[in-house]
Amino acid sequence: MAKSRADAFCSPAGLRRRSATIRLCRRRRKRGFGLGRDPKSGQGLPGGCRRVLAQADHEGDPPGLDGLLAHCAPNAVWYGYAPEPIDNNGYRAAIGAFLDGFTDSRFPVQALVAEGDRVACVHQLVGTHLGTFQGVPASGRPVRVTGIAIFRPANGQVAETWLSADLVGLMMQIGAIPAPGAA
Amino acid sequence: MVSISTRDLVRRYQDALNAGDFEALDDVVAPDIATPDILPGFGQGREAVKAIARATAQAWPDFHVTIDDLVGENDQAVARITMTGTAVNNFGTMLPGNGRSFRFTGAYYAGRKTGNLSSTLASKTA
Repeated sequence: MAKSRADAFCSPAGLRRRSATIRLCRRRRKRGFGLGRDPKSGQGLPGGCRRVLAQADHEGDPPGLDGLLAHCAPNAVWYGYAPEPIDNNGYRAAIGAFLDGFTDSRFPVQALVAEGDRVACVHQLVGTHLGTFQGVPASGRPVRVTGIAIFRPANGQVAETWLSADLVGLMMQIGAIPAPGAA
Repeated sequence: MVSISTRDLVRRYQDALNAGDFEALDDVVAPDIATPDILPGFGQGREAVKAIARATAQAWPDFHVTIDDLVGENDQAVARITMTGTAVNNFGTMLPGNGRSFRFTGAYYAGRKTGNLSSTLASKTA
């Protein structure tokens, strides 16, 4: 299930969306986000990070989640999930569940920051709530929240990642929990 | 020429918040800081950052942010953080002061155009 979603994600429609993503990134850079490194090319990033980011952002013709995980160490560790940490299979299940809820998701990169052996990727989670997510049936509502992933590559592959995604904001946007200040 | 690194600027920002020294934010945060992920109802800019800091300190007097990792490069930095506190008083209408202690993690991005922090993007994991 997760795999077919991921493949759909990289369809010709996905590739067309990507060019819109590139334009969005350029506009955001002009507004002051993503100063410095080009968030599209990720040029000069260490190890597998650049390739992982390329897969996540659908550059070229990637085979989806499998292609992304091909650039991660077999024993890669993922933090920021509940429970944590999880392994590659856990990551596949978690992202698969997200893609089932938001079948048109995109992850435009807004900034890349690299220091030492870590690369931070600031991105948005953009999509439409078209499937059941966390038990909440499809609402058809659009969502846009910020996610921040920190990668630690080793030997040309991603060995560890820490993800922080604004899931509370996401659940508010799909109407599952009330927004602050709402009566 | 900027004399302080962006990561040191982020540390100063966080130290000021942890110490409750909100006026010190004037020295590290640009007045027109862009904060698209800020809580609704607080407005925008440095005054909104300070208003949220005051509201937080009032609702959660022991609120503390620990920087777990800090990745800085040129005019950008990303902090991975752990937030702890006790919900002593109500925070707005949504978060009740039920006396419970909490601990959650998150991350934020900070960018600068001139000397001070000029933009942030934030993400909290509940």
